Parts: sequence; C-alpha cells; structure tokens
Amino acid sequence: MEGIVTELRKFLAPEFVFGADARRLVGRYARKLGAHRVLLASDPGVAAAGWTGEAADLLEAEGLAVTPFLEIAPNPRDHQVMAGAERYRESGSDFIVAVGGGSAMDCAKGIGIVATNGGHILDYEGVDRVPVPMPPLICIPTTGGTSADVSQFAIINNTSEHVKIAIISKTMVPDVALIDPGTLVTMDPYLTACTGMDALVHAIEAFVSNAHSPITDMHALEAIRLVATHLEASVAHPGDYELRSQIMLASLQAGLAFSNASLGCVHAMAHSLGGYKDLPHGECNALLLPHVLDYNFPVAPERFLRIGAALGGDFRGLGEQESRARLIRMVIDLRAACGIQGGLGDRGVRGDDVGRLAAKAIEDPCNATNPRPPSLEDLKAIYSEAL
Amino acid sequence: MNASRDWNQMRERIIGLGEESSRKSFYPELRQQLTQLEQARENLRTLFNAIPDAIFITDLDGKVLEVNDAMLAMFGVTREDFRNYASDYYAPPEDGAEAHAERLKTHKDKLRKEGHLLLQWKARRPHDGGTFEVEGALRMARWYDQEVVIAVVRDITERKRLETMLNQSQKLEALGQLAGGMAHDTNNMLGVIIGYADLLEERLAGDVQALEDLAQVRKAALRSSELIRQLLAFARKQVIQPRTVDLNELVEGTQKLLRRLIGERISLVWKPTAALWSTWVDPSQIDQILANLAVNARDSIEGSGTITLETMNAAVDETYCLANPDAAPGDYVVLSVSDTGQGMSPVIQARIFEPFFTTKEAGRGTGLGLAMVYGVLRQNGGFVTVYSVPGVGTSFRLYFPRRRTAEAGPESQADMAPLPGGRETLLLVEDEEALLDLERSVLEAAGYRVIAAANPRQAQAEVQAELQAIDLLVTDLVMPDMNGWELHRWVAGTRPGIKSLFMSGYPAGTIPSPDLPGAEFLQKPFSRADLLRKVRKVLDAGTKAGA
Repeated sequence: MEGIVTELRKFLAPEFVFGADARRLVGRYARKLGAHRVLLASDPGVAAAGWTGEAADLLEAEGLAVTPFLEIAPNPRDHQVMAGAERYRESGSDFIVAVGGGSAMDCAKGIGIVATNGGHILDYEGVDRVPVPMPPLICIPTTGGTSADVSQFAIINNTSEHVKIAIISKTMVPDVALIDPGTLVTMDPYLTACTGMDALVHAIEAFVSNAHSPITDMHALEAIRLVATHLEASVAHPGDYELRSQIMLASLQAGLAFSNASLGCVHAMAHSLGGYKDLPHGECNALLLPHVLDYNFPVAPERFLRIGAALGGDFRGLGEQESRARLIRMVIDLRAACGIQGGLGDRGVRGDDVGRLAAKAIEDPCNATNPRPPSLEDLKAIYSEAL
Repeated sequence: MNASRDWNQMRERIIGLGEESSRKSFYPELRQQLTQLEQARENLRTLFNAIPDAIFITDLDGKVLEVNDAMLAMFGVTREDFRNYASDYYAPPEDGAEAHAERLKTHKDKLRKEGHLLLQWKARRPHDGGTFEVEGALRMARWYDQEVVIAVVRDITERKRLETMLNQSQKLEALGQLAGGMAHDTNNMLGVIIGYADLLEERLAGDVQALEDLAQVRKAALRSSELIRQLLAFARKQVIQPRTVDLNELVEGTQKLLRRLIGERISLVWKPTAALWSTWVDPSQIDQILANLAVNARDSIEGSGTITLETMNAAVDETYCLANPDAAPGDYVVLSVSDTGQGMSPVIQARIFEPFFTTKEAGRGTGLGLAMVYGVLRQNGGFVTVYSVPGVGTSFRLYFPRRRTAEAGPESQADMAPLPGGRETLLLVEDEEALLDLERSVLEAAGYRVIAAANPRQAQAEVQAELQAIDLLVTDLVMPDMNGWELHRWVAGTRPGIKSLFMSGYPAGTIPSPDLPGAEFLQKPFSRADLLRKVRKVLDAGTKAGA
C-alpha cells in the first residue's frame, strides 16, 4: 500500500478560513460571491446557541435578504432536504449558508443539489451522480468532527428505507468554509466526545483507505495525534478555547484526509446503524471502531502501527497479534475516557437486527475503500461483536 | 460477494480522476444563462432591425436613445451620429416655437394618460433638411430603468401621393357622370334650336337684318354644340366608330394640320417607332386629341421651341398600376406629345383634366380640351399621364390598349397577289451588311439586276465602273461619310434622270432633306412585299426623283 505514491492522485479542498472569529466573515464572503438572497440552513439547537441569528445579522448588514430554514433534525431526513429546496425556490434565493453540525451542512448540500438539478435528493445517491453544481455555499461548522464543511460527502437519511445514504461528488465541496473554534464552546461534553471520536474515525479510515495518498496520510496522522492528545481534556474542560481549537483543527485535518481518501467499513456500518436507530453519528462510529480495526488489522498491520504511534502508543517488541490487541485497547480506552460507554446492545440494537443492518451497510460506497473488501457475512459478524 | 458490487470500480470513481462533474462552481451554469440571454438579445436586435418602419426610443426630453436600421435609412443618419440630433431635428417645429411647445405638452399629457398616441407629421432628414410625410405610433415604455417614448414611424409620402391621385381620379369620374348627363340633354336642346333656326331662315328670306341675327343664333348654337361634343368626349359618351388602326399612320396623317396649328416659329418633330402594335380607336378622336394637345403645347411655348410627337410600344405591369390608379396591366401603344414650353406646377397638374379648368386667359380656352383627351383615353380603355417641369416643358403620354389582330388584315390579302418584279438595273446601297445581302437577294429573286454597295464610296466606284444604264438608286438614308440625299445628288450628277428610293429607320423629316419632290421613302423595317411594291412603284412613276 505504500507504493501508492506512484499512482495518480488529486487533492480537493475548498477555500477555508480557520481561526478565531472566522465565522464573522460570512457577510463579506457571501456578498463577494454574488449573493442577493440567502437561504440560511441551520437547526434549532444551533439557533438557540445564537450562531444562526448572528450569521443572519451579518448577512443582512451586507444588504442581503435572508430566508432561514431551521427544520433540520440530527441525521437530516430526505423530506427535510426537499422542504429546504422548496423554501430556496419560493424565496428566490441564489445562495446558501449552512451554520451547524454535519446535519445542517449535509442538508444544505442536499438543498443545493435539488435547487439546481431538480428531481429528488435520493436520485443522487452514490459517487459522482450530480451533473450540475449547486448554488454558491458557505459552511460554518459548529461541531468538531463532521468535516462536512470541507468534504465531498453528504449523508442523508432515506426515511422510507431507514438507512443513511451517501452522496459523494466534487459538487458537494462548499465554496468557502469558515471554521471558527469559538463555535465549539456551546457543545455539551457528550456531543464533544462523539464528534471528536467521529474525527478520529475519519482520520483512521482515511489513513488505511485503499485510496489514500501521501497528502491525505499527512493530514490523517496529524488529526489522529491531535485527537489523542486533546480530546479527553477538551471534554473535561468545555470552555477551554485552546483545546477547542486543537479539536477543530483535528476535525479539519481529518476532513481534508477523508474527503480525498474516503472512508471504510466503520462509516458504511454507522450509516446503516444511524439510519435505523437514529443514533448520533459520532457515537455509532465510536462504538463500531474497535471491531472494524480488529477486522482490518491483518491486511495492513504496518499502517495500523503508524496509527498506534500517532495515538501515542509504544509498540516496540510486540508481535502482530499483541500490537493489534494493544491498538484496540487504546481506542477503547480513549472512547471510555471521553464518556462513551457500553455497546450497541445498550442502544437498543438486538441480535435479530444484525442481518438487516448488514444488508443495508453492504450497499454503502464507503466499503469500496476499506482496506479489506467486506462481505455481508463479515459485516454481520462485526455488528454481532459490537452488540 | 455480489457481482454488481464492484468495489474496485467504485474506488476508482472515489479517487475521481475520471469524474463527470468536473465543475464545482455554479459559474458555468451562470455563463450558459448569460450566453442564452445574449442570444435572446441578439435575436431581438435582429427583429428590431428587420422592421421596415423606423423605430425611435427617446427619453421624455426628446433625447434619442436608440433607433433601428430602418430609421437610419429613412432619416439618412448613421449609427455613429444619430444621437447628435434631438427628436426636434427629426420632427422640426412646423409653426412658432411656442405653439410647438404647447403641442408637445398636449401630446405628452395624452401619452401619459392613455399610454399611446397616433400622429402624422412632417419629418426631416437632419443632414440635407429634406422633409417627408410620416405617421407614427407613440407608446410609453420603460427602457433601462427610465421612462421613454417608443415611436414607430412610417414614411407615408407615397401613400399620400396615391391618395391624392385616387381622389383626383374619383373626382374626374364623378364630374364625367355629371357632365355626361347634362351634355346629353343640352345637346338635344341645341338640336331643337338649330332645327328651328333653319326653319326660321326659310321664312325670313329677304329680311336681311333678321337673317343676320338668326345667323348669330345659329353660330352660337353650333359653337355650344362643339363644346357639348367635347364635354361628351370627356364624359366618354361620344358616339365613336373604333377600328384597328396603326397609330403611326394616323399621326402621320395629322402632320399638315398640326404644322398649320402650331405655326412657323415652333418646330414639330415626329418620331414614329417602327413595328408599332395596332390599337383600336376611332381615328377622328386621334385628330381631336392631337389638335388639342398641339394647341396647348403651342400656347405654353414663348418664342421658339419644339413639339415632339413620338410613338412606342409599352408593357404596363402591376407595379406601374399601383402608382397610376387609372392604369390596368397590359400592352399599350403609347403616343407622347412633348413640348419645350413653360411647364406646370404640381398644383396645376393635379387639376388639368377637370372640365372647365383652364390657365388660359378668359375667352381663349374652354377648359374642355384636356378633359376631352382624358375622356377619350378612358373611353378607349387607355389612360393618360402627364409629366411637367416648370421652365422645362410638359409631356403627355397617351396609352392606347394594344389591339391583337388574329384575323387576316388587308395587308395579308395583298400578299396573296403576285409580287411585282422587273429587269431593270438597281444600285443598292446599305451599310448594314446583313440587310444588304437580304435586300439584294429579294430584288434579284424578283428579276432585277442589282449592283450592291456597302457604303457611299463603294457606290461611287461602282457607278463610275458601270457601263450600262442604272435605273434606280435604292439607298439607306443615314450612313457614315455621306447621307442618302448627298449620294443621290452625286449619282444624279453622273447619271441624270436616275430615280431614287430612300430607306431609313428614322422617321421621314428627322433627316434634314433638300427639296426632292419625287423622292420616295421606305420606313424600316419593311417586309419583302413592301420593298418590291415600292421599288416597282418608283420605277413606274412618270416623275423623276431629283431636280
């Protein structure tokens, strides 16, 4: 897998501004990008924290008309996307600003696709299925982990099938990401833990992805290091701006990595699980990660050891099986230290759900870049272990 | 694993080097829409410029913002300079500035109130100051965020002219009906007056004074009768006896009369066109017409001048008829009568065919002459046009419908008779080689001995070399170096008593001729029969050509 440096690779990232008060640039950027009427996609929680209202004020201060769209739930639903596209159309909007976590940003991306391409959001499921670019989009993330603000991904909940579908396309990359660590201080500790673990999973899956490249490796390893170093402290001290910045940076680096290298079975299985049980995406990832690590380890032990090193582990003198056990232990310890306990069984998943979950998960495009091509039986086994 | 689930292929697509959606930005779609907008604008511009009416877009102060191509052509301005003139330049004030401003204000108020306005005015080309009649539909509109007036302007000069002509034509029609009805009854009454005058004349025999008075009554009645006759002619109520005629022949026959009418100081030029079509008309009417036109022409010439009579064939098409309401499409034989007189103003031209309209001093004209000409032409299915330029002259063109003669005429009957020939020696001079050959073979076939010459010099050489007698000189009239008359004089000098026949495409009289009482003339083109008959006729005539 190291020979991958001889293969052609591209690296795609939006223009992003990272740092204190980056979010306050939204008005100016929107105006510069030619906006007249802005659809402001956000969710009630973020609005309650004040970030949505602030963005609206900044946009209006630039003379832009703002139409808010707040009907977005965690794990955004397909019908919410369609409602948002209708709001976009009827308000005569020509621009979209998303303020929030992965849900708000993915929903905004979905709205954008439908606004320019028509049809239904589920029509665009899969890789490279979006023919026409969306209207200009600015993303302001308020969680540290999702990375939708820099990625080519949008995950939408297919409510009739109870599964989350992935839309992967260059057109999903926003025009600008305004990444402001200051927005993270309104996250509660558990959400901080879940989103932080999400960033870690992004980084690990991108690093062992069969589509990884030297540039994505660099971002992935740095993201792993940052999460390992700062997540536990950040959960413990939610008001610490310095720690928040480190986690936000970790999320960004993980995002740049996975947006270009893609993901693996953790995400494929988490999409199925989250769609079925409506669980927080980060939590699903955190619960599934050790089991997928265990499954993948044999096909790329040397890369998993580099992950272990980035996590701060010492694997000197250990055999492969011992190293594998130690790596899994480290991940479980980190998860536990951040407050994520138990298994899928504790979240209401039962043994007879496994077949259904695996059947949905095996359809997910994230499997394509997993270092070990999974079979349906493999996924069933992993779900069972994770119970 | 499911065969349709090809992870490798999906991985390739995720790496994305071959992806379809190579554009991330919305910009390409924007560009596409801009292109479509530009195309739509181009299409509208094409449409704008395809409209034959001039279109002005002006602001409310009269500043011209945009015009179409038709406007540039109509007003003689260019894309570069049309904005240099305010709308006042294109529609100049016709009266005082104050009245103009007042009128503009009224127009503006009406436009604001009703949104549109229909007007006629006199437009002006800024460069040469030329004016023309226009009609315009004005409409309020918005143009690039300002209130403007859009004026669609049509040149109606031609329409107005046609309207005037049509009015004139209708007026003459109405007058004709009136005059016709009146003249008919009056004519009967005059008949009664003259009849009783004749009866009285017998009864009053011996009473010299009474007879003299009665003669005055008669004279007045006859004079009135003549007026009535003309009025009837105008009204197309003349009793006529039309027949197939050769207009050249008829006009030829009036020459003496006309010369006497116009006098010495004015020359009469007669240019008949050869191969003139036949027409169908009462020959006496041609005399009436020519006499009237000749007198008018004479009266318009101060001092010396020329009156030219000319005939020609003409085909009149639909386009021509559009400009002449009296005309109908078809073939016509045209007789034109032109003078070098003082001409007429358009105002006078418009009324000349009305009965009793005259510009002559009281007592000199009845005002019925041209009305009669008009009536005769209309009665014969033709029409008359007039062209006149003050100070230059006037030309009337009389259009008689062509008469197609399918049945055999007298000429073809004559063809049945054997053509005359002879054994005499003829000197044939013709500078048109093809004609020379033709004429020689015709004459030789008839038995004549022909000495042919292609020009006068060759003819002179032949005469000098010829030992036998030469009976007749048949020569073209117009040739280089020496004309037919001169050649005749030279030949007659060496061969006294020789007879001559002159041929020409020009009408007789156009070539200044010496006094040659016995000279015979043959108008080209002629038929074989024409030539042989004429030759025989000259040879058999007792008189000799030449002095």
